[in-house]
Formats: sequence, C-alpha cells, structure tokens
Amino acid sequence: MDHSQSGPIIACATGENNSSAISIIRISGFDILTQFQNYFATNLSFLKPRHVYHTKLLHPLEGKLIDDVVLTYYQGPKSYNAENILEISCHGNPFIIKNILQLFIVNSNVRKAEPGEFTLRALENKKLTLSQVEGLDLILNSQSNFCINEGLKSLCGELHDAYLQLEKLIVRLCSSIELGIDFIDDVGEESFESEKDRSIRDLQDFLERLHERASCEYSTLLSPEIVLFGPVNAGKSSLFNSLLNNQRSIVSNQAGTTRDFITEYINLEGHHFKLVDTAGLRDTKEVIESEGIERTKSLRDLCFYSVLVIDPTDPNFKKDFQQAKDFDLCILSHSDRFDFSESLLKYSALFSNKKFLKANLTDIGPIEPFSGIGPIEPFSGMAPIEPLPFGVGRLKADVWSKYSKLQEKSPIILPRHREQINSIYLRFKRFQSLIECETDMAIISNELNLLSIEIQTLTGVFTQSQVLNNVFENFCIGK
Amino acid sequence: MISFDIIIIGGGHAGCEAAWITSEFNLKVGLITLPDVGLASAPCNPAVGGVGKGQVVREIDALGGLIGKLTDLAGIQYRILNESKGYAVQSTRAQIDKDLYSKNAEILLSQKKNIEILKDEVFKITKISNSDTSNHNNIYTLECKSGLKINTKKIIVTAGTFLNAKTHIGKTQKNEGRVDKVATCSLNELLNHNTGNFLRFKTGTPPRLKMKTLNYGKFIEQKSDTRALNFHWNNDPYKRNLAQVSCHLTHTSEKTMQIIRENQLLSPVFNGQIKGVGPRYCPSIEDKGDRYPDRNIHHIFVEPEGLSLDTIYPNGISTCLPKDIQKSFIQSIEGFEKAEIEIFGYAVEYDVVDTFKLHLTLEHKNMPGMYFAGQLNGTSGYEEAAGQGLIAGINSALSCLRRPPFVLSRESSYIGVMIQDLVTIERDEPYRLFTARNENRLYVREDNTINRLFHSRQSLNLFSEIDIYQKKYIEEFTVLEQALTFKKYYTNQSTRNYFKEKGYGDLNSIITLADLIRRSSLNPVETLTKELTRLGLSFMPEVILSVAISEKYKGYIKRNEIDKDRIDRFNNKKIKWENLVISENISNECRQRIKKIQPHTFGQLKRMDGIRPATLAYVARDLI
Ligand SMILES: Cc1cc2nc3c(=O)[nH]c(=O)nc-3n(C[C@H](O)[C@H](O)[C@H](O)COP(=O)(O)OP(=O)(O)OC[C@H]3O[C@@H](n4cnc5c(N)ncnc54)[C@H](O)[C@@H]3O)c2cc1C
Ligand SMILES: Nc1nc2c(ncn2[C@@H]2O[C@H](COP(=O)(O)OP(=O)(O)O)[C@@H](O)[C@H]2O)c(=O)[nH]1
Ligand SMILES: [Mg+2]
Repeated sequence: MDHSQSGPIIACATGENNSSAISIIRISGFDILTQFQNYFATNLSFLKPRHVYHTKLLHPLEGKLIDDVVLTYYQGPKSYNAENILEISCHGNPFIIKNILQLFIVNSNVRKAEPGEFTLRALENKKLTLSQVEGLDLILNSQSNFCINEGLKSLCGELHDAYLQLEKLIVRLCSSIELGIDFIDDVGEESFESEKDRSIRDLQDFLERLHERASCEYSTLLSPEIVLFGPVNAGKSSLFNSLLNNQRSIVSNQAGTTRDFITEYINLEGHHFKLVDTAGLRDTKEVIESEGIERTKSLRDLCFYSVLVIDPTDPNFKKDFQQAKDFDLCILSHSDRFDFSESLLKYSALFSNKKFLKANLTDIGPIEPFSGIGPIEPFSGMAPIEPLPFGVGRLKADVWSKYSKLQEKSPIILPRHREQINSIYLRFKRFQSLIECETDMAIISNELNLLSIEIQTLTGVFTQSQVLNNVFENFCIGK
Repeated sequence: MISFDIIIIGGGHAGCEAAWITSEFNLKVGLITLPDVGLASAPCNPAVGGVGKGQVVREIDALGGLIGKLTDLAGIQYRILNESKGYAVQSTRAQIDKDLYSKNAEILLSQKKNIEILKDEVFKITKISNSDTSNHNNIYTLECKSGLKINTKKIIVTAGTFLNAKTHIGKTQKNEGRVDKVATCSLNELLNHNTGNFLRFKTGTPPRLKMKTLNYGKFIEQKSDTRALNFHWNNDPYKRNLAQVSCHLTHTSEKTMQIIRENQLLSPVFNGQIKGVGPRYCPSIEDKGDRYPDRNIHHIFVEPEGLSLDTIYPNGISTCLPKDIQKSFIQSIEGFEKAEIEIFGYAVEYDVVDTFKLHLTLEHKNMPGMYFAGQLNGTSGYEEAAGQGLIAGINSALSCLRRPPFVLSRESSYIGVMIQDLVTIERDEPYRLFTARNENRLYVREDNTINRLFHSRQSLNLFSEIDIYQKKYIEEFTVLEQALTFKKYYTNQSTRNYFKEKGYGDLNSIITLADLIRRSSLNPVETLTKELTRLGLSFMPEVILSVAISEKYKGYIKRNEIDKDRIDRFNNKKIKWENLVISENISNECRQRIKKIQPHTFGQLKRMDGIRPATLAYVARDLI
C-alpha cells in the first residue's frame, strides 16, 4: 500500500455487501465541494459544514434520480482526518451503494479508497496518534467488550499517556547521567548518585508494571469461554440449559447424545461469554465421540473458565473425579438422589480445598438462585467440602470475579505494543546488568540512548513505514 | 594609510588564536587591542580546560593553535576531571599563572614577523565604497582612537565583553568591559550601521582574595595530578614547565547563604538592574541561593592566580552584591574568616552578535570579509573563544588566498559541534560546551584528537614541524593497532600462570592482545603499557594511550553507527514551530523559546537550550 498517494477517495463506510436501512458513503480529500454540484439537487455552495441536508442524488450527466440522500459536509481541518469530507447517507441496498460509488469513480476525479486510507490520512495529518489508530482498529474489529474497552482506552490516549510517562522517566534518567558528567562539580558526587539511583528505580517500577500488562495472558479475555466438562450423563447439558434459561441443548439419558460442542452466549455484567457444552469424557468406541473427547481436553487448558459436572452416585465417580483439581469449579449433580449423601460420605476424603456446588439438575426451568428452592442448591455443612452460596448466581459471580481480576491487570493487547514493550524491557534489563559492572558513564549513557530510542518507537516517533503497513493492513474499507 | 590582509580587533583568547594561525599563511596580519588590557588575559578563573573544554584545547593544539602551548608554559596545577566516569568524558584542566600566561602570549605573538600588534582602540569600521568583494581587494577601513586609519581585506572582530559594556557591583554601574577597564562603543556604532540586533548577555566573577589572609588549615588540599598529559604536542607529555602548586576546597555555610538570601534584592541580577541574560549553567551565588533554597553547602575551589601573585580565585561564588555584603558573606565561609578582598566580584553585560547570521566559517552573511569570534558571539569561556578564533583565522586566511573554506564536522570535533550550534541555532543565553552537546561522545575524546583532526590539519598545507609529528603519530598508531590483533596468547601452563600473576583473569582459549585489553576488569592503558614493555616494544605514550582507549570503545562505536541512521532520520523530522507556540500542552517558558528560535526539525528543538523533556515528549508524540 502506497501511503503517499493523495487525491480524493471514496468508499462506503458501512460495508458494501449487506442490506441495511441506510449506508454512509464518504468522499475525502477534494478541494472544493462544488465540484460535485452536478450530483445533487441542492446548491452545494450553501452547505454549512457539519449541518445535515436532505437532497436528491442525481446522475451527473443524465440528471436522473439515483437515490434520496442526506448530506453532511465536514470542512478540513475540522474533520475526522483534517481533509474536506462529504458524507452521503443513502439507502442501504448493495446495488444502490455500488451504483453511487461507480458513478463518482467514473465521472469525477475520485478513486476508491484503500483499506484504512481515511484513517491513514488522519494519522498523516496528525488528527490521530498511532496508538489512537491502533485503538480504533480494536474497536472496529474486536470480538469482545474487553477489546472494545481496550480500544477506547487507546483511542482516548490512556495508553499513550502511560507511554509518555515512561518517556518522561527515561528522559529524567538520561538527564541525571548527563548531569553527573558535565556538572559534577556543581551537583556533587553524592546527589548525582542518589538522583541516578532514584531515576533508575522509578523507571524500573514503571517498566515492570507496564511489562506485566504487556506480557500477561489475555487471549481468553478476547473471547472468554465458560466450558462445561464431565462424564456423559453427568448433567452438563442440563446445567447448560439452566444457565441459559432454556432448552437449547438436547437432553437425553442415553450416553453420548451430545455429539459435538454446543455453543451459546450468555451475558454477565454486560460482557459476553461463550458457554460451551462438551461431549463426555468417558471412553467410547464411536469415532465422533472420541474426537470430541480429544478436543475436550485441549479446550480445558485454553478456556477461560472450566466447570466439571460430575455425579457422585455414578460408579465411575472416583476415577472421573481425579481430574477435579484442574477445573475452576466442580458441580456435584444428582443431589436429589436418595444415595447422594451416602456417596458423598463415602468419598469425603477426596474433597479437599476445592469449590463444589451441589446440584439437582433434573428440573429444567427458570432458576432463582436466592430462593432456596429449585434445582441448584448449595452444598452445606460436611467439611472439608467448601460450600458455595446459592446456585447459578454464585457460579456466575465466580466467573465474573475471575474475569474482573484478569481485567484489573489491564493487559495491553495491541501486538505492536506488546512486542515493543518487551524489547524495551529487555534493553532495560541489559542496561541494568551493564551498570552492575560498567563504570564508564559515556558507555552507560550510550546504552541509555538506545533504550530511549526503543521507548520513542513505542510512542510512535520512529514509526517505520513497515510498522504503518502493519497497522493499516487490518482495516476494512471506508473507515 | 596603512593596509593589511587581515585585521584582528581584540587581543583576547579569540583574537590571539586568530592572529597566531593567520600569520602561518604568510599574510600581513594586524592585531589591534586596547592599550591597558593584556593579551590573552584571564578576567575570570585562572584555569584552562575542563569537561568538554579540555577536548577543545587539544583540538586547537592539533590544528596548530596557541592555547595548549600557552597553557603548558603557564600551567601550575593539572587535574583529570571525570576520571572515574570513563575515558570518553574525561578531560584535562590546568590552573595557570595568569600573569605569565598573558606575558607569554605577548612574547610569542611579537616573535611572529608578519604580525603587527597595535595598542589602540577601533571605534568605527566602514566599508570602502565600490570595493569589489570578489576581487579580494581592501574592502574595509578602520578608524582608531589615535587617529590611525587602516585599510584591510578581512576583519576578525573579537571584542569580547567590551562592546557597550556595563559593570555592576550593587547599585554601582560603570561603563567598563571589565572592572577598571573602560568599555568601547556599541556593536552598531563599531559597524557603523544599525544591525537591528540588540542582544545583550551578562556574566560575572567572584571577588579575589588575598592569599595570606586565608586559613589553609581548614581546607582540603588538591594536589596536581602527575598522570595528566600536557596539552601541547611538542612538550614531553608529563614534564611540567613550572613548579606545581595545590588547589584547595572549602564550602559555603548556612550563615553565608542566609546573608546572601537576605540581601538578594540588592543584587543587580535580581532587582532588574541587569537586563542581559546570564548563563544558567554558570550561576552566581545569588542565583544558587534562590534556586536551591534548601541547600546551604556549595563547593568553593580555592585557586591560586599565579606563582608570584598573592591572590586567589574562589571558584563557585561569582557575585555582584554590594561590597559590604560581599565582605560579610565571604567571612562566613570556612577558612575565609579573616579574608581580605583584593578585587570585588562584579557582573558585566555587553552586546553580542546574532550568530544565526554567520556562516560555518564565522564570516557574516551580510558583511563579506567580516568575521566574528569569541565572547561577543555569545559564548563563554576561554577555550570556546580560542576555538572560534582559530576557525575565523583559518577561514579569513584561506579566503584571502582564494582557497576553499575550512569546516570541522560535528562528528569529529567539539569545535565542529560548537560552531554548528552557534550558526544554526539562535540562542538567548551564553553558550558553553558540554560533552552532552556532542552526539558522538564515544569517539570525540581527548586521547584521539590527532586521529580525528589529522586530515583537517593536513588540508591546510602548512607543512611545519607539527605535521611531521602528526604523521609519525598516525604511523605509530596504525602499527600498534595492528599489533594488537597479531599478538596472541596461547593456552599453556606458562601463559596461564602469567595471566594469574598479572591479575589478567582466566585464559581458556587463544586470545589476542586486543581481546586482553578489552576485558572490562582491566585498565586498558595500564595493561597495554605493561605488555608492550614486556615485549620490548616502544611507542610514544600518547599513542599507547589512544590505541588502548580506542580499542575499548571500538565495539560500541560500531554499534552506534547502525543506530545512527535511525536517530538521524528522527532528528531530521520536520516540526511546525508555529503550532507549538500556540499549544496549550507546552509550558509558557518553552513556548517563548520556541517562538524566538523557530526550530524546524526535531533535532534542532532537542538541541535548544532550556527545552523541557515534557515538551520534547509532547512534540515527539506527533512526529509520525
Ligand atoms: C567578569 C567576567 C566573568 C567571566 N566569567 C566567566 C566564567 O564564569 N566562565 C567562563 O567560562 N568564562 C567567563 N568569562 C569569559 C572569559 O573571560 C571569556 O570567555 C574570554 O576571555 C573571551 O575571550 P575573547 O577573546 O572573546 O574576549 P576577551 O578576552 O574579552 O578579549 C577582548 C579583547 O578585545 C579588545 N577590544 C575590545 N574592544 C576593542 C576595540 N574597540 N578596539 C580594540 N580592541 C578591543 C580588548 O582589549 C580585549 O583584549 C568571564 C569574563 C569576564 C569579563
Ligand atoms: N435426578 C437427577 N437427574 C439428573 C440430574 N442431572 C441430570 N439428570 C438427568 O440425567 C440425564 C443426562 O443428563 P444430561 O444433562 O444430558 O447429561 P450430559 O451427558 O452430561 O449432558 C438426563 O435425563 C437428566 O435429566 C440431577 O441432578 N438429578
Ligand atoms: Mg449432554
């Protein structure tokens, strides 16, 4: 992609290929608005910037009606990318959209925009910083609320501010070293050393935190999954349905009914979670079932929250229960059965330091966690089993608390930032090991300069065109 | 009417240097200087060199200049500054006998047959009408106080702090360029037209004390360092010309700072009496008291002004407070309890030239044939002045001879850094060299000055003794540098034992002598010297020093070259100063500076004095 191309560009900002009530077509980078006069029934020279006008879009040569549209004119530099922008809201029919685009491209000096080109111009015209552009990318392309939030943070400059703070700290450290070289007679050896050490410490603290944010595992946050595991017929599907308040999954008492994973979304505190019902963990001769089991195992290690559903009255309980420690939560089903308590007593030695939920999953229906009645109820008494308070609500609360803890670490998820913070961190570690043995201030200062270049790369100063390409590659057209 | 090829106005450090080098080109040179001011006199501290400045002295010496020779002739104490901070930033500094220094300047310059020294005052320079600048005929006429009129092809103005100068002690103001030395006309009067430039700077100096009235028992002694190399190439590196004396160290007390703070408003620096801008890095004691309200201990170096002089220079307490207050705060200092003041401290403000209007040759862009050098270019320090004098001198001579100009690069010298800074960046305070101004600090060192400037010196085509010496130096350097990679230590019992005995560390594989001296636990110079002695090889000590140190930095310098490209590209990024000036994200102070100086690239902004890191970060943020 050639970043230096200029001239007016056009694209549909809302997607060309799907029908919708309205679509927005943007033209950016033209010199004067009136060059498009022939396309519209309204006199364009009277258009006030940032006001909305209802008009008709016409064929520029034939004058025939193309669509009924609404126009908004943004005059540069007070526009998204500092260029003149005309926004045409038309009807969201793919044919109309293609028609209009074609009309402008054929009859005016306007070409179709490259992916992300509107934004590239915003970047070039200093309307957005690199971090902001990257944030925008996240907002537009992300799959989870978390990413949208991260994107907003980046767009609003929270990250950028953190980076500037980092830059401030490195500048302070560099200054303290230079002070020690050129003005040692003025400041004295002692205050030089203490200022240097303090600057290093502050930088280290800040960098450690940033590095933690940039290296912490976040992939589960992008699309958090709650996965239900357990032997066949333990009650996974029943639980799944309870959580969804409906009967999405086929419930059957024949082992191996749930052939493949079944996926639905549930909403906790406004965040979407994927709920997955897996096949049973028990061995079987059926190929399709065993495939499912393989996938089950790898899924457990990758998912955000894993639940083991298990029936203590099942003769295989002891064997199946061995893996309980690898799950976030264990639910003991069939609590309504007459032999339930007896089984628990039998296995009581197995239950240690693990969260359990005792549940009766037979009746599928609306669940009232705090009602005290209903299919799921807490297991109480009987140490060492740690009981959880009421039902599904509690399960959800546990999921949420794990999620928000991870979120509190506010992981940095933009790949370029993660990489760059990592190389800054490595440079800094090198710097630290250097100053342990090296007393030559010029060499130390030299290493610091290299470190500060890395930091400036993060803030967007050293952006090579390659980095830019990376940033823009992921854009869909018309933003 | 007499006429000259080159006239130098001013016999200070800049003027003397200019006269010395121009005379080498067999031109007719005139040096006009005030009758009652000694040549190359030291109105401030009796010392030459220092961090960043020691490098300049050696650079001037390597180009055939005078300052190193004068310093060695009058050197009474040598020190290596920043020794613990590594070779790249360490510098030599010498205390001088300031009387001898000035006398020797007079002797050396008057020995030059083609220099005529005229003790007179120039008050007007006029351009000869119809003069053809391209023909290199006489283009300027000078008028002197004595009535003398002189025609000349080139002029180098080095009037120091004298133009329209005013000294201050408390309320007392006098039209003087230094204490008791009458000021001369203003810059505009001298040039006989309004240059549109009314920039004024300020500097100051501490009181001089009578040595016999000090209590030396209370000071810490600092002896002369025998390991510091002399400055001048033709001197034995370690043999001093004069008997060596000590400097001493004392400090201000709580009471000192209390007196100073209480009387702050009596100081012309604070009550608005002085309009000129002083250097932030060279603050008066009043400034220090104000800037560091919690600090009462400030170092004072007690520096002898000469072997036969009975005065000392207390370095660190420059002041222009009223005389009675100077006296009382002086006597509150450890060891100064009974001190008598010989000359009171004072401040001086003076006209300076807008160096933005100069070429890299220091020739004025609007006044061909007219060069400016030294303190009146808004620098401070003898070394800075001398370095400019040398460059202006060489270029005026080359121009007379119609030869191409002589410019030192920023990458290879401090002089190059200074001159580029002076002419490309407008400043609003006096300029001093620091090592931090030099981006190429690992390479631009004291020890390798000849390596750095050999080709530049050769290009002058002067063919004198120094050129023979430098050729020999470079030859020896090349031989020794190669020897470092040829000489190998094989791993056997006897070499292992030898390494152990010398404290060289382990020897697990074959290594070269170069590998050995690069070991971070060893002192490269000592190690190389030891090994060469053992091998029975003899080289000039300065060659050994430079080869050893160069080896140490080689790897780092190479790596820097790779990153340099990146840095350069960044520094060359264009910025819009017009936008910065109205930005709310930049402090008012920075905005003012930016408005004045109008930097066009990020590199220029970075090199501007007084720009806050926050501003740089803010600007960098948008440089995508
Ligand atoms: C009070 C004071 C304090 C200083 N403090 C410091 C300090 O703290 N740190 C520091 O680094 N430097 C300091 N300096 C600066 C240092 O003295 C100068 O940098 C250095 O002397 C400059 O050399 P120069 O050749 O440019 O000018 P000067 O040494 O000032 O020489 C100027 C010469 O020009 C001659 N001259 C002037 N006008 C005329 C004329 N019209 N006709 C003929 N001759 C003329 C004078 O006779 C004089 O010899 C101080 C100087 C003074 C006066
Ligand atoms: N009595 C009783 N029956 C249950 C309970 N949980 C599940 N069942 C029944 O066990 C059978 C298998 O349940 P299902 O949810 O399909 O198990 P899955 O194979 O783990 O998905 C169904 O008939 C359920 O009604 C429970 O807690 N108590
Ligand atoms: Mg099932």
